[in-house]
Formats: sequence, C-alpha cells, structure tokens
Amino acid sequence: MPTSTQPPSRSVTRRMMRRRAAVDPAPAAAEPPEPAPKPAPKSAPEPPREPRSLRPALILGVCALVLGALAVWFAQQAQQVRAAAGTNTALTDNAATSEANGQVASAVNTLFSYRYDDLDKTQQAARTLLTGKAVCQYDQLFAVVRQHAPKQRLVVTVTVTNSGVEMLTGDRARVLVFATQSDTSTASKQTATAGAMFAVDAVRQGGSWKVGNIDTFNGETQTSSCR
Amino acid sequence: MTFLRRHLVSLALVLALIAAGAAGWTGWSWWSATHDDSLRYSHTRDEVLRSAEQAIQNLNTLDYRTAESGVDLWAESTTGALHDQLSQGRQNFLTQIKKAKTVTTAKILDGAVTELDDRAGKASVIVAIELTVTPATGRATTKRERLAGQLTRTGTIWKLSSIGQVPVSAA
Repeated sequence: MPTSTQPPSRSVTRRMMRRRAAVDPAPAAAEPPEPAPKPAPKSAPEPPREPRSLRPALILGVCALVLGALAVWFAQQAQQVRAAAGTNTALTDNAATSEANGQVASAVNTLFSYRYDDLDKTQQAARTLLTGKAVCQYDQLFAVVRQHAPKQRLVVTVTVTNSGVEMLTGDRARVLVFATQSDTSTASKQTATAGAMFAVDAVRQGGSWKVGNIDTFNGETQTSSCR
Repeated sequence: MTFLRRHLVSLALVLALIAAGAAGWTGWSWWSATHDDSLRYSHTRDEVLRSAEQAIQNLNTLDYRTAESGVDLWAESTTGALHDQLSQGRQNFLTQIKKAKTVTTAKILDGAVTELDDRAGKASVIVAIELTVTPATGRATTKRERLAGQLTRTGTIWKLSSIGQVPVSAA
C-alpha cells in the first residue's frame, strides 16, 4: 500500500515544488491547501441526496396536476363543441330527416283532406296519425268540419308544397309545413284556394312518425284547451 | 424510509399516468369533436338558418325615416342576382318609400333549412314571417308570408341569393 501511494504524492509535490519554485521561492506554503479540499467533496454530496430522492415524486405530482387540469379543460371544450352543434340531426342524418319529412307531409295531406260525404274515412285514418295533444286539437277541428262540411257539400284537399325539418332528435322532430288548401263547395260549385303555414311537432311511435302537436304560431290561444 | 420514498414516487407516477391518460382521452375527444363532419355540418346548418332569418328580417324591415341605412342593410344581407336586383332598384325604391311614409317590421315565426350543400356553399330555406305595415295615416296591418329562399356562401358568410313568396298553387 505505501508503495502505491507514495510515488504519485511524491511526483505531485515535486511538480508543485517546481511550479512554486518558479513563481514563489517559499515551498512551505504549498503544504496546507492539499488536505483541505479532500474532506469537502466527501461530505458535500451527502445532504443533497435527500431532496433529490423527493424530487421525482414532486415532479410527477406536478405533472399529474397539470395533466389532470388539462384533461378537465379538454373535456369542457369537447362538451362545448358538441353542445354548440347540439343533438339536432336534421339534415345531418339524411335518411331519418327525409323519413320524418315525408311521413309528416303525407300525414298532413291525409289529416286535412276530406269529403263531406265520407268524413268517417278521414277521421278513421287520423287515429293512426295522431298522438298526444294533437288528438284533442284535431277533435276540436273536426267537430267544426262535421257541422259545416255536409251543408256546403265541401270537398277539401290539402297538399303540402314545402316542408322542412327544423329539429330532429331521436324520436322527436319539428317540421315546418307550407300547404295549399283547396276547398270545393259542390253546392255552390266554387273553389277557393288558400295557403297555410304551420309547424308540426312529430313523435316517432312504433316505427312511424305521428303528429303530436300542431303549432299555428298563435301563441297558446288556439290550443289552450288542449293539454 | 427508502421504501416509503420509493412508494411515493410510484404513487406519483401512477397518478401522473392516469392524468396523462385522461388528458389524452379528453384531448382526443375535443379534437374529434372539432373535426367531426356531422357536427360541423350541423353547426353550418344552424348558421345558415340564423343568417337566413336575419337576412329576411333585414329585407322586411324598413322605416321611411331611415330608409337609406335600411336599404344599405339589404345590400349587405344579399348576394348574386338578388343583390344586383336590389341595388338597381335602390333609387327608385327610396323615392317611393319616402313618398309612402310607411314603416314595415317583420317577425320571424319559424324557419327550416331544406337543403344544404356544404361544399358548394349553397342552401335552401323556408321561413314563415309576420309583417306589420304601418302607413303614415291609418291603422297598421299585419299579414303572414310564406317565404322560400336560397343562400350562397360568400367567404365565410351566408347571404341570401334569392327570396320569394311560395305561391298558392292550385292543387
């Protein structure tokens, strides 16, 4: 052991001596700084080891918090985008839209077209096309028809000319309808043609669309007696 | 001590991984929502209806006292043939309205988009409105109109390119 340590120390001191000799003629000053730096590097790495072992946990914890906050923010943004577009699938779901549109239009044609001498036929057909509030609305309307149609020998034909699905969510739809109503009084042999506008709130029941409410844009005044 | 420390690190790691997973999932959800074709189409449909109703409201609202700005608004709300037609008749119309001294207001009752070609930038709408015309003297009259119109996208804005009343056809 002493043989291995001695030669380097000797050479170091020798080199140091040589340097010092070149700069400073006093060789005694070279001795004390040598042992001083030795204990310093040994004790210095020990204390930082404790915070260093906590640091990964801390960093990961902060990461978890930041990522968690991001997740919440992303989720809110996604929901906002979806909510802005809504659940309305009118036109986006082409097949369902044209089905609702077509069935509501043909229901309207059937419901409001009648012959004075065969009112039962229309009312019979209406049973399968109506639901909810519209049953009551239609009953009120048809009570008036039953009073007047036979007297004037009225034949009424309603044809939907334009219709558009405003809203479609699952089994509910709202359809705006423009129709032409042509009333022919066979008694007076006169025909009157008029345009009609209303919206139908339709409900899909048993695979087919039924009229659940007729909105004539008069507030609740006309349909207030129907719930 | 070292065991607890190691435990703390793995706990933090698990939390961080869970959070990363959640962020990845919700981030993807957001991205897919903004890139979802049907959601985008649905958004466009709503925008088309909003633009159509606003344009129709503008075209059916006119006060003879502020006729110029009213007619300017017509020009802003329209494009194509309808726009040309309105700008050609502008002077003529202004003289007429100032002579008649009428105030017209419109209320949108309901509306629906009937066709939408997102790529071509064309759409068709039907809108039900109620017009109130107040003459210089006498009572105001209200009437309902059934309108069918077409919209064309100019840049990012949808404007009316044609509008007209739906005729009462003899069926």
